[in-house]
Amino acid sequence: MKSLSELEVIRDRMQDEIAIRSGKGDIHIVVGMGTCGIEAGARDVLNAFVEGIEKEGLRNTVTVTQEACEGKCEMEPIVTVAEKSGRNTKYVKMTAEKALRVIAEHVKGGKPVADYMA
Amino acid sequence: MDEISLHILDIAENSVKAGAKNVVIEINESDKLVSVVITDDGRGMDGATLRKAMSADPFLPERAGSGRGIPLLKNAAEQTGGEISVISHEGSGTSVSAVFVKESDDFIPLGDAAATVASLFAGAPDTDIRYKHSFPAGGETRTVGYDTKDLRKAVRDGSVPLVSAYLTVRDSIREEYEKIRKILTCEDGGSLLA
Repeated sequence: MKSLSELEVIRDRMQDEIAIRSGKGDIHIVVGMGTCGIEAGARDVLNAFVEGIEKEGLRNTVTVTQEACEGKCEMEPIVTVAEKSGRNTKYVKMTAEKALRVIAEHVKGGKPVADYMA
Repeated sequence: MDEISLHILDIAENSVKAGAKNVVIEINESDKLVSVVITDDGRGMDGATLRKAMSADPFLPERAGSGRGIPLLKNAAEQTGGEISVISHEGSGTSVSAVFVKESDDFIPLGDAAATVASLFAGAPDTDIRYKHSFPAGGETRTVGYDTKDLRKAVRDGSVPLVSAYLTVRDSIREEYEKIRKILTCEDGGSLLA
């Protein structure tokens, strides 16, 4: 059970993120989390993206969500980066390490990582 | 899958897809066995669907909704000399149980349970998850538990932001395991008899 002050810390931490839930974020990162994705390592990819977004202070503008199997099992883990501009980038065979580069070059730098694309 | 917690994530995702509002993950570990039970209050399966879920080929590519999760779990448990059982009632929910034998060469570790529960909750923030893991350590049975309903109490309008939710759930569970590790290694100055 959490103490009152611990709950307050959690609440404050979440305040700036409420806007994201209503879809006002600039960038949506979608990680495939079907059976194939989980088998191929998607959970650790999701973990890396969440950690990276937190570390870079991007909680206010970037959401991370999950989707089910797409049917292309040999390409998993699959991560789609959807931007407000309408540009959608699909990354395949992702790893926790590759997630860091996607955050640095694409999410922060605005330039998709061609090496990791489908 | 090389961790039991990855199987748990997969099966619990089924629960979410079946419309579960509550998912309970209970792991009971003894010296010889790891017993996992995942119970949900989703829509459940009728006889035909259940038979199909139990008999699907775990190694064929998945088509949306056909579900290899249960056969994969069955395979993993049986390889260690264990077994699974599935109880499901249409309209009430489903309970999937699996037993793994620790001394088998094919035994896979529990792995990163904190990341599993965090991923599950972040992917389905309207579903509550109760996690409990009991295991023997230092001559006693230790328990790590987490209930996402506690997290909800911290958020005013009941809607949970995803990045914060993921990290809070993951780190809270990690902290519980860490507390036990510290007790066992006497890091906090306590003794094994504490």
